[in-house]
Amino acid sequence: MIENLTLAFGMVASWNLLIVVLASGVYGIFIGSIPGLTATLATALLVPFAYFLDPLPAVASIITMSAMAIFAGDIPSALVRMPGTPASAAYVEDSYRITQSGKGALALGVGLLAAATGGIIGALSVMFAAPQLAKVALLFTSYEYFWVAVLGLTAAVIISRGSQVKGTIALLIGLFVSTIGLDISVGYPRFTFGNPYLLGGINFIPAMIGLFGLSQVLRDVIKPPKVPVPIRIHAKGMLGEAARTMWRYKTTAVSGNAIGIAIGALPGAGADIAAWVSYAVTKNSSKEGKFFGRGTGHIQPIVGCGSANNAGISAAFIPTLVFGIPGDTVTAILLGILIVKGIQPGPALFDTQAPMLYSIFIVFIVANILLIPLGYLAIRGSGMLLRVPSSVLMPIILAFCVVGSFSINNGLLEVIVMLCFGILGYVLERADFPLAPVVLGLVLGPIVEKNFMQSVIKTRWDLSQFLTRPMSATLIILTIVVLVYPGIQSGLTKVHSRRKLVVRR
Amino acid sequence: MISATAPNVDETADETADERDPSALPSGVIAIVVGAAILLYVRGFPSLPNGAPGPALFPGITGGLMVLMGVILVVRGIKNRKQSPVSAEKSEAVRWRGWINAGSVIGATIFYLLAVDFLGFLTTMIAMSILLILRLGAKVWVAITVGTLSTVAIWLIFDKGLKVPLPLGFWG
Repeated sequence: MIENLTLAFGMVASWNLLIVVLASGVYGIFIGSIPGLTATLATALLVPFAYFLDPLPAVASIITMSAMAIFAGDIPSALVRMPGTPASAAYVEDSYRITQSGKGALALGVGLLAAATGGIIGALSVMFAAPQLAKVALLFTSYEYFWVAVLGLTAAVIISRGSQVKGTIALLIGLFVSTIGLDISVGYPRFTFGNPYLLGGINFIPAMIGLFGLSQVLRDVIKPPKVPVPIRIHAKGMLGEAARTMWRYKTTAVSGNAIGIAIGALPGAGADIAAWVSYAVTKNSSKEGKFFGRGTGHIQPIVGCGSANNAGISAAFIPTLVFGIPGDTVTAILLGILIVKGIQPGPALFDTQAPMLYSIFIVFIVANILLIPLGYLAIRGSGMLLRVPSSVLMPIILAFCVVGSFSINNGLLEVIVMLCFGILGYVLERADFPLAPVVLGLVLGPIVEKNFMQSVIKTRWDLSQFLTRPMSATLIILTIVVLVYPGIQSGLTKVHSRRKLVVRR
Repeated sequence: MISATAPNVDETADETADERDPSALPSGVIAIVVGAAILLYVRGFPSLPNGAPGPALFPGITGGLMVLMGVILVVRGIKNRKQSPVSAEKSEAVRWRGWINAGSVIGATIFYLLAVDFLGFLTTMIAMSILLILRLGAKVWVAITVGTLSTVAIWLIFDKGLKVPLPLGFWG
């Protein structure tokens, strides 16, 4: 333990890594604070860089970037009433109304502290839960991996917002695309139409860049958003008052953290869902719940949701590291990179790569501490962040999409894949299909198929093995729990229906 | 009341998104067609030596479920068409400008694909960026400055920093 920790500190304390962390932090704040540009898009555009880095800096860049982006999403919520990322959508009304009443600095300061503490507590949950779960995961065979992946797929659909039928179709699109290329049982080329480039399958990275990067560019140029003039805020002395407010609502913060960890750790559900659930819980448990989102707004939901979404972002690493099943879209993309680089996350990581894991934990803490100064600067310069015109920004993002997909393989085929997925992403979103299940389908598809085929070939199609093994049974029960989750969710929709915030972009 | 500075947030309560969704019918039909095409195509896949389903199994399940989901969407689409005819104004037409912009973005990408091996990365990307920034309504000097600087920055990051050999074209 101590030995590993010393090794880990040695790995983290390198200039290279620190520069990567700082740069991705600034990048995360920038993307997160622009309405419409999500943490997933930031991850997709970061992938070409991460691809060329060593595994630790690659993971570190994504951890730092996503923590910053999820906080920075609060900034346009408060200043122009447009959530910067979906994770801030739940409490946009409160942020904006508080800012209107002249207390914008407090709203953002509380958001910042809630984000940093949420991120750190989420990271602690990863540190304690992941190694314990890894011990269980070591006993897993292909049957259990099959069920864990099925659990991930189920969660991806059930918990996705909007129509579940459409969520399922989005998932099926991802699953279908993942079957393109040589099949794993007999090496038969599927859906390649004689094209040798497709034998290895559709490259995951350009697909993600297209699905989230190019599609956003298309959405933006087709219907340019009208960003109103931001409200000015005075940030002086805000952190002190914010800290006192956090202390006053400490139970809300703790419950927000717990919700964030629970939902973040669930495969397929991310920070935005965590924030919505936390909003509902905070509202129901608060005496002042009826004032939320009305009048001059209320600070309590910002404490709860701000704690929940950043805790969720951290906790999404639990299933990612332990089972190789992504906790949200950001970790799904990260997993895609790691697999492309030849690293298969899983319980073995905890045995063989302990120093590397401890380094990841340290990066989590460092990134969330760094969030405070960077976030503070971002709040002070927030007016400027929102003035970057999209006519200039979108062509630059397009250039990154093109070069990023090209650089993966030095080939134009990847650019074509990016273009196709960009158009697909735009069309899907325009018809109200969620995009997150597509990614999870793409990542989990091969895992489900490989473990299923291995299991049945091993036992000559004795399917009872999938049901009767004790651990499989547990996982089936978990899957069923997720399936009945909509019942729990109906409490949530009460809040939704009152004022559902549809961000039209 | 809320000030008029919030054009992008829709505050109407629409918990029944599923039932009023005008895209249900067309997306359902597309899902059925795609799913059926997958099902037809996988019939040509070989099975495992012992006769058990092999490469066709997973794509087959995917295609089958896609047809099923498509049918559900179509039924929903027909049902709500009977209940309430979709009003023309709800499906607010995206203006022509927007579609020309989208065409320019896609066209710029295709231009890059066709031209980069001949013109080289810097020339192609600078041209593409400047034209696109102009098309999106920025001033000429902004377009030229930003288009050139951003391309050079990207070139430095990828070609010099990450050692990705970007095409030189006839310059090389």
